[in-house]
Amino acid sequence: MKKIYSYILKFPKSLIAVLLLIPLFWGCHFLDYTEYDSNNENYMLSYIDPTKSILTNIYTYLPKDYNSVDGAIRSSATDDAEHVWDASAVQRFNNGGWSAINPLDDQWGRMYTAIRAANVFLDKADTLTFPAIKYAVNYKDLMQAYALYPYEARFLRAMYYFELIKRYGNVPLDTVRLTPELVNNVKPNSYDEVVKFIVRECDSAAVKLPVTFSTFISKETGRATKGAAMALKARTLLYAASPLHNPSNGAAKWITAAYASKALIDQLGASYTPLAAYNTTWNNLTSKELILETRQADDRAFEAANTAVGYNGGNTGTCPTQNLIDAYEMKTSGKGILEAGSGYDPANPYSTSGASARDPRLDMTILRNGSIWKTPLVIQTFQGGLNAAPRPNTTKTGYYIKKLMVESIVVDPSLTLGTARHVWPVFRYTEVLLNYAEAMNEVYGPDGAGPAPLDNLTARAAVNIVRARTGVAMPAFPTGMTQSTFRDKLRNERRVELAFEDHRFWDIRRWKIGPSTTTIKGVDLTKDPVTGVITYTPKVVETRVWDDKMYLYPIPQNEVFVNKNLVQNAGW
Amino acid sequence: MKINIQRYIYLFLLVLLVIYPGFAQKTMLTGTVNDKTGKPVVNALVTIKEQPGVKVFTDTEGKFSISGVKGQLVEVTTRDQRHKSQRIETDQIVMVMNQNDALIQVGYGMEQRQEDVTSAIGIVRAGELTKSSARNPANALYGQIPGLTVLENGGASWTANPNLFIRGIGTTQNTAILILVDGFERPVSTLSVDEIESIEVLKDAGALAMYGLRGANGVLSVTTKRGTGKGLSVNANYDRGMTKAFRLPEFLDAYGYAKAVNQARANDGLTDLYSQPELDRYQSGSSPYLYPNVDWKKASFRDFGHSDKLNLTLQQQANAFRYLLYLNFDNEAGILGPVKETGPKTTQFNNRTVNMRLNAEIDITKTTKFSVKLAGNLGEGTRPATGAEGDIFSDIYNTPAAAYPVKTYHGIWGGTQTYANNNPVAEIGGIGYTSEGRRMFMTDFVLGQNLDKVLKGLSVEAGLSYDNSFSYRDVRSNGYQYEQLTPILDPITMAVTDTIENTYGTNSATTFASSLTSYYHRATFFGNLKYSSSWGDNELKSILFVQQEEYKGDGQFTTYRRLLSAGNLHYGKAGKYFVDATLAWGGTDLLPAAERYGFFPAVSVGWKLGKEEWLIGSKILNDLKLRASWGMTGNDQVTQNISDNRWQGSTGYYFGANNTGATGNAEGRLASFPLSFETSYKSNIGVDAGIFNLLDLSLDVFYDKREGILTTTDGLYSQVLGVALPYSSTGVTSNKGFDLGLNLHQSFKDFSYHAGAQLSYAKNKIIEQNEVYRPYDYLKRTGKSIGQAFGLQAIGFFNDAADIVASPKQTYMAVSPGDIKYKDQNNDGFIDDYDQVQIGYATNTPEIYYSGTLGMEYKGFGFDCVFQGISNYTVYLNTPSIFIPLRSNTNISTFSNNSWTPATASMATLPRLSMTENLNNYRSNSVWLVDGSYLKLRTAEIYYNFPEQMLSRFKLKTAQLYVRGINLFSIDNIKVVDPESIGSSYPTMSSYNLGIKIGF
Repeated sequence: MKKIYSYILKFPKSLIAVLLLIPLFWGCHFLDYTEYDSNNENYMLSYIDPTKSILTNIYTYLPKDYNSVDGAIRSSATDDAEHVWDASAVQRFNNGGWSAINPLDDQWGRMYTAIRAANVFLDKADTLTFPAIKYAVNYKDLMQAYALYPYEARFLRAMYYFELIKRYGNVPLDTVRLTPELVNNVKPNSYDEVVKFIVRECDSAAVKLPVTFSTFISKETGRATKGAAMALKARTLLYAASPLHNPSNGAAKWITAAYASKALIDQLGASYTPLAAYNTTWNNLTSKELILETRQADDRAFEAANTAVGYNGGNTGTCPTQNLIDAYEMKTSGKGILEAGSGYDPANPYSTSGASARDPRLDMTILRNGSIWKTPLVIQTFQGGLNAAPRPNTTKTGYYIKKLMVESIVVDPSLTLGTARHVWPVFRYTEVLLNYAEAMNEVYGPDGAGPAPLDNLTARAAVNIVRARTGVAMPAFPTGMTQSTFRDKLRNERRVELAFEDHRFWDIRRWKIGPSTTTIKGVDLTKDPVTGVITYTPKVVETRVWDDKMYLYPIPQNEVFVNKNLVQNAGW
Repeated sequence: MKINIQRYIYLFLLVLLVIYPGFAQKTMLTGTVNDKTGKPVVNALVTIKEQPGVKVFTDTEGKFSISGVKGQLVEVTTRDQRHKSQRIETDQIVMVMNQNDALIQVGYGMEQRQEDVTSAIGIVRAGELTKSSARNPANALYGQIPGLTVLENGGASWTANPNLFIRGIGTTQNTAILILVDGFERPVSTLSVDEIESIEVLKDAGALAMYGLRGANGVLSVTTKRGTGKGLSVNANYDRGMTKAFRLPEFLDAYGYAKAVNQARANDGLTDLYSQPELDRYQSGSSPYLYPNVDWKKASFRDFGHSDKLNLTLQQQANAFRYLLYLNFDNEAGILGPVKETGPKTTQFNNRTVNMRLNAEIDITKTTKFSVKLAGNLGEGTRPATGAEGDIFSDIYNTPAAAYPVKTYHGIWGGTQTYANNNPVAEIGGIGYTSEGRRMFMTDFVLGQNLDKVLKGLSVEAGLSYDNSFSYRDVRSNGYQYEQLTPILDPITMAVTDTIENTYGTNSATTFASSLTSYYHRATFFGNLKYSSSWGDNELKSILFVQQEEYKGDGQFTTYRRLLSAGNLHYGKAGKYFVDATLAWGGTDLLPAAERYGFFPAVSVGWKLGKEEWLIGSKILNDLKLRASWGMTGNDQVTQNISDNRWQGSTGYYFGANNTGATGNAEGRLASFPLSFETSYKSNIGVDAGIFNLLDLSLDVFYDKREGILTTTDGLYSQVLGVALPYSSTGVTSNKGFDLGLNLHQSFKDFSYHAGAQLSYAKNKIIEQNEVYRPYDYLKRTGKSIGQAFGLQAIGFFNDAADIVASPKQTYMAVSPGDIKYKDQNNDGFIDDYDQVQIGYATNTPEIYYSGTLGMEYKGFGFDCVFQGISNYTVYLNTPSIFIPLRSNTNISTFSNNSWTPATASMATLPRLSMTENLNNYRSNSVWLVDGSYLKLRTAEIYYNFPEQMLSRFKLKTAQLYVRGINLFSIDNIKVVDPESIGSSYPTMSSYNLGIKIGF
């Protein structure tokens, strides 16, 4: 051995140096290399700003229907509208081309993403104290806002569960963060169980959330308020009481629904009234009757999609149907156009004055032949007119949408394009009044009073508040209506007042009136070249496919495939 | 314990002494070294294994004399790295060097004679490589090695990198093979062909297990030349090439374009854009400014580019010092026509590269060797100052002949608002240049020590390598003014009554921008311990090594660190039976601590039947060897940082009276689990045979199974989870096939010829990839090849409106007559993505890759050629203008000649023309997914080797003159462009080269 050592000593020194270097670098710690990055959960929960941003993210899932189904508004899948483009996926609602493997408006994964975001927030972020900013001058203000975060998150989670059950019926209800190991075994909860959960969460949130955030230092309006929580509860209970989910038409469910609406009317009615002009209720975040809105960055996408062909940059998009136009009653008589003595003049269907005048909301909602749009231009839907055939891709029905559009937006590609604020009304006070009227009528009839606090506002009185709104002033519902005629007229009122606000699609389902909405009507206008007189020829634009399975959405097929506990909705 | 080891060592040495034949008298030994055909092998190194430091060289007749002792081992190493040893029995020795005596670099400094190799390794040597004039050595590899797939890409020759695959593809993730230069990971593109001694392709587990976490996709190992031979030898080579686009698409002239536009508009239900008098003006060319007819290719390209290549190699082997000095200069100029020279800069596609290399070995002592390799790659290229390299070609191809004149009658560049700022001629000569440069420096230092005095056959090596590379871009550009001329027509006669002249843009001042486009360094340390011994007819070679490397690029998450240690034991008995055993252990920082290390064992065996007595002397089989191997190797090329659950910014929201934006943050993808590297289980059986002393055959059959492939789990878990699903390393694929090589060679007195054929077949299959739910079996990707093309099956074109109504509803858009009619695979009455079926083969790599070589030589005159082809490959023809006409104001090529019109409905092969984005027609379907197979003549060469008698007068040893052509023709299905480059990029080139090589 000595020999070996002595030999090694004779090695060139450089070689020894290299040999010694190897073990120096050779070590497993060498692989413990990371590039520091603060984007982890612990960091997010250490400071108030990132914590707040977690909550902000949950807001981004609030519903809106600016072209939400493949470039079309969801109303294009109701008898209120037809979408001009045949290739839009929204047509599959109408032609039966949707299924579990070809889902439409697939909100399943998206809503559960929002729900998990809320669960994760409520799991860890609701009891933090942020010691690092304890001595900041605005610590108290920040913590005052922070104290509401958990209730905002709980409201939003309830909102997203409502979005799920109105589509899918029975869905898994989870309030903890799931793991991949657990998720394929979750069991669906019944529709009513989820309703109960939503109600409970809304009740808790309503206690803590303020009526408005405008009195806070931050003035962050747009957050969930007490009104939002109560309105969600009211709508959820109304849906739960409706024929689709209340097949026995049990009165108890209607009464609960009436109570929920009445509570909002009694406690907060003063904040949301008086009702201002109808056409100030959309794209207006200061509208008094707005309870909760979905916000977005200023843009022009809705106008670009729905401006009539004939206008530079127009794409037509939504074509309101004759079915909807016919729902507008007469201004003077207050009657439907087909009722005796209504005063309707088929030769002057869009009259704005005299006995033949229509509900003023018609002209605020619809662009029809003769409507002034982007002065000095006038909508021309007669054959050969600016916005009609033979120009390609003009309206299929004879109408264009006006409601939700911002007229000043420039979509002409050769001009400087602008943007405008779009505010989607999720809950409006008028809806609560209509919800109340509907529930009351089902139990007590048009003029019946219930026990306190249902004793001081009848169904008829509630709807008449809406009818009487500024600039609309439609005649009140007459006394002496039967429950059934009141129901029909109220449904008509709801359709008109809430047109294109994504109510009709769901109302058709909860009222189970699908089969009566399949004939889509329009009108052809021809203009006599000499006299200028316009002739109106009604036409059937489309006969749609209805199947009762469509009252609920199909659950996406892969979900049923990986989780054997899930039950596909009937018929799909 | 210590004592025991000591005892064993002594015992071991004792055994060696016993089997040692004993000392004997030194004798003077004379010998001859010939090759198989009887030609002397000149300047080969002759040593005696037992006497390190004694070395002589063979003379011009292949003779040598050396003093040795009977029973000692004489070793001969030729200049082309063939190696043979033979025991001294008499004082006369004759050695015949076979192809099989080649030394193969099996990795990490280990060499084996090809004859002893038990694994599947393909090799190509300098002699074959230098028959190509390619700038990038990867482009010299077409059809050279069975099992190596090389697919050409478009792009200028100095930026284009062919796709390289070894035995096809075995993973759904990163398929990049490991490329080593002298044992360290380096891009082969930074070398030039003439500095390469050999390229080995390691294919089976026997060869790849050593590479641990990096071996699964195969290894391409490049060995650079080193100083060999006695005395100074100098080789010089000059090559001049003319390059020409291999194929350029043909576009319609202005008249044809205008007619096509009218047809397309008619198909779209619109009125004609061009009236008959206007069409006539396009056709006659009577009004070249208002109705231009510009052949943009002709206006933008010149007929030929050129290249110059100069190589100088000096090498010498002195007693204690061997070196090779290499210098290469390349200059290439592209095919643009109207370029502008600005001082030394040009807007031509241009490239100059200098490659330098010093490979030196110094015997510091008789037993200590120091080797150093220093190499540099410096390059600088210019091109027009368009954004990306290919942009100028999009401009040339997408601009219709009728769009505008090159310049208007005011001398202003032509242009219109529709084709804003893309006048090809202006873009080539009028907007300045982009120059891009590369600097790369590669260094290796290795110190080796022979430890025979400690233990006979023991040696140790340690080394380090450091590479540094960066590239930069300078853009010197300016805007230009262009003019649109719009004729005003009389509405009835269509005569031009006036012209509106609008100018747009400005001739703005030149601006300068400079940026660093990439940077990296790579540092590797290694050490190894080798032990070899032989006793009787037994031979043992072993190695134990460790290696550590770091790669760091620019930006975050570009650092890669790896550790590897491995051992290999090679045992041979009687030159007939061979066994190799390998065990590697490696780790990577790409994976979390618990999952980052892996063991990779492999065993391979060889049986040289050709040396069995019952086969010796056979007239049919003059050589035969069987090989078999099994083992594991890995692939760690996975995405970084997926083992953490990171948070990320999400869409914001808006609060307050002013709709003030607020940022959102959302939980990111869940931490991926389980995570691992990919493990490839490779089996290989091979046979090498020599038949009739004429034909060499080598056949390998393989089966690989790859496990642990990173896949998504989207198909496994319910979306109720509410967050992006983790990845998991649970994918499985298989890959099987064979590599066949055949070589025929025969020599006569003045005439010799050789012919070869290679055929590689590799078919892979996805076995498991957590596929998302697909409702029909025909939609499933699992069970099909990786990258299998899917699309809708066209069953013709719609004839009329009635046909549309009667057919299943096509949901991509409202269809018109002339649109593609698809088969409703699931019979649900709708044509949608659920009607996609597999069409053809994979689009990423062909299943079949083959080549043929032919060469002959007569009295110094020679001829060589290489054909190469692929089959079972599918290409998606979706390049605008070339294959997809007119859409979004693009151009139309002759490819579209057979488009549907009402008149030609019955024989049309393509759907109707349309001016718009036709979502029904322009998607993956059986019209655009076509057979991508081809057969190309890659090189053909005629040369003349000047006779020695003539050369000796000029003190030259060798001289050769050659003429060669590269990429001369292709037989294929696609026809309008090179089937290997269908996009709008710098076209692939044919090249005609004239060159001279001299050596003295």
